Amino acid sequence: MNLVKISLKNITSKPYPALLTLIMLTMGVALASMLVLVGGALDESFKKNIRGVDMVVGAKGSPLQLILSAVYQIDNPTGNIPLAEAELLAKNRLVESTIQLSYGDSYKGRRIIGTSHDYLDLYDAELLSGQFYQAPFEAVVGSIVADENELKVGDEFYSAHGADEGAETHDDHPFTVKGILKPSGSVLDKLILTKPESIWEVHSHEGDSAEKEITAMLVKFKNKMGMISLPRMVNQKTSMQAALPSIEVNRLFELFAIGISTLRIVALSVLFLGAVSIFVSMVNSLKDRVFELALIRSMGATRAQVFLMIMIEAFLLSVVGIVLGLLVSHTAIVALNDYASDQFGVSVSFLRVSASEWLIIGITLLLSLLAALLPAIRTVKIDVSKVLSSHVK
Amino acid sequence: MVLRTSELAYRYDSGQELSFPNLKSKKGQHLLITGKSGVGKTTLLHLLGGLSSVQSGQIWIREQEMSSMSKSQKDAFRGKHIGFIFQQASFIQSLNVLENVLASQYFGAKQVSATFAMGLLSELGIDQYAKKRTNELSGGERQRLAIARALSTKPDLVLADEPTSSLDDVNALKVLDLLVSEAEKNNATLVIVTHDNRLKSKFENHVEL
Repeated sequence: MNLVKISLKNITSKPYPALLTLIMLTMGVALASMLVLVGGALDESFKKNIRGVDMVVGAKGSPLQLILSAVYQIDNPTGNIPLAEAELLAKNRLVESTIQLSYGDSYKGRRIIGTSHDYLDLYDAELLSGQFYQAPFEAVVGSIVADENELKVGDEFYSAHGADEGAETHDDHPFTVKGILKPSGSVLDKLILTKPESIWEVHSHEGDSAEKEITAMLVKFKNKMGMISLPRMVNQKTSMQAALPSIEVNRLFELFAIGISTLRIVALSVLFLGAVSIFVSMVNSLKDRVFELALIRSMGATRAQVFLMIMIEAFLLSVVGIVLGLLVSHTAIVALNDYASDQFGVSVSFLRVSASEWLIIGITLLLSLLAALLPAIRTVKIDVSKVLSSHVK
Repeated sequence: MVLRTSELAYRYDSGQELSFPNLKSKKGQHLLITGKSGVGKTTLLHLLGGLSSVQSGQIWIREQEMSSMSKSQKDAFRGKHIGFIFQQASFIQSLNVLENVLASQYFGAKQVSATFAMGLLSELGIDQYAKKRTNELSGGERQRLAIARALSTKPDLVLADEPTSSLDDVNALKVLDLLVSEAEKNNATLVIVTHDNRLKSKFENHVEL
C-alpha cells in the first residue's frame, strides 16, 4: 500500500471521467507529435538534399523550378545550358567544385541523370552490388528504382523521352544496369545515373548541334564570397540562371508555414483542453472526495501526502496520455511511411522519440500538473474537524 | 496516564462557548463520555484527537502535550497513537475492505502488515469480505471494519464518536463487546462519546457533559 497505488485505484474506480481526460490528452499528444515528426522529417529530407550544394546553375526561368528540378528531381527542368558556358563558370576562382547534370529522359517514370561519380559522393552513396558505370549506356540504379522494377546487375532497359511514364521510348539505345545503390535517404534512391554521353547520344539525332548542352550544374563555393558575387554575376553576365537552394527552400517552407502553424495551434489547443479536462474533473470530484480526504487525514496522513496524492493522479493520467498519444502518432507515421517515403523520402522510426517530442512530453506534463495544482492546494486547506462532523448521510 | 486534560474550553465561530470537565484515563481504563446532542461531544473528541486546535486549556496524550506540537507533528502523532471510529463508518471508496485497513496502516503507522490486518478482520468476523467493496457491507459490518481500521495501527487510544447509535439493539451490543474486547487485546484505551444510554451500564469510568 502506498500513495501511487491509492492514486491509481482512485483513477480506475471512476473510469469515465478519467477516460475523457485521457482521450483529450492522447489526441493532443498524437497530433502534436505527428506534426513535429512529419515536419521534422520533411525539413530533414529537404536539408539533406541541399547539403553541399551552394548554388544551382541552369537555364533562365523560375529559380524555385530550377531548384526543385535539379536538386529534388520533382519538377521539369527550365531548359538546357551550353556546356562550354558552364565549364567556364566552373573555372571561376570562387568555385570549389561542380557537378554537371543532364536529364530529361526517364525509365518507367524514374529519371535518368547523366552525371559523374561526384554526384554519388555528394550524398555519401555507396554501391550495394555491381560497379560504377565506365562507358555510355551503362547505368547505376537507385535503391527504390531497383526495387520497383526488380532490376539486377546485367539487366537492360530502354529510356523514354521526358519524365512521364509511358512517353515515347528511345528503343534504339538500350541501357545496361552495371550497379545498384544502397538506400541513402536522398534523392539518389529514386534516380538512374549514367554517363552524360548516353544522354547526348540518345538525343544526337534531334537537332544534332555541334554545341554540347547540359541541364543544370550544382556548384560548391570556396568561401562565403562566392555566395555574394557569383549569383549576381551569373544572372547578369551569362545566358544562365543561378539559384540558391537555401533561399528557395526557405521560400517553399514559408508557403507551408501558415498550414503548419495552424496545425500547431490546433495541437496545442487540444493539449490545453486535456489539461482543462484534468482541472474540471478534479474540481468536480473534489466535492465528493472532501470527506474521504478528511478521513485520510484523521488516519494520520499529512497535508503533503494528500496534496501529493492529487498530483500523482494527474501525473499518472498524463503519463498514460503521453504514452498512448505517442503510440498513436508513431503507428500512424509507420503506416504512412511506405507511401510517404516513396513521395518525399520521409521516414520516421517507430521507437525513436525525437527532441521535439520530448518537448511535447514536457509541455504535457507541465500543463497537467499545473491543472492539478489548484485542486491539490484546496485539499491542503480542508478543515478536517468541520468536514468530519458535518457529514450526515 | 494515557489521557489527561485540564481546563479545556472551546469557542465556536458563532460565539458559543463550551468548557469541558477535566478528563483522566489510565492505560486500559476506558472512558465513557455522555451528553445530550449539542453539548460538544464531537468537538471534544476532535480536540482530543488533534483534528481541531486547542484554544484554551491543555491535553496530554501519553504525557505529551498536544498544543506544543506543529501541525505535521500532530498528524504523525495522531497516525501513530490514536485511532478514530466515527458515527457513520466511512471508507475510501476506491479501495476494498482489506485495502482500507492497509491504507490506515500506511498513513498512520508508516508500515503495512497484511497479516495483522487480516487477523483483525477475522477476529471481527468480516475476513470473508476482505476483497469486497466497502459499500457492499451492512451497517454492523461497516462498524466492525471501522474498529479494525482504528486498531490496525496498534494505537494507545481509540476515540469513538457514537459508535453504536446507528445500529439496532442487537448489533449495538455485539459491536460494543467486540470494540471493548479487541481494544483490550491490542492494549488500546477507549474513549467513547455517546448519547446512547444503552452503554452507560457497561463502563465504570463515566463522565457526563
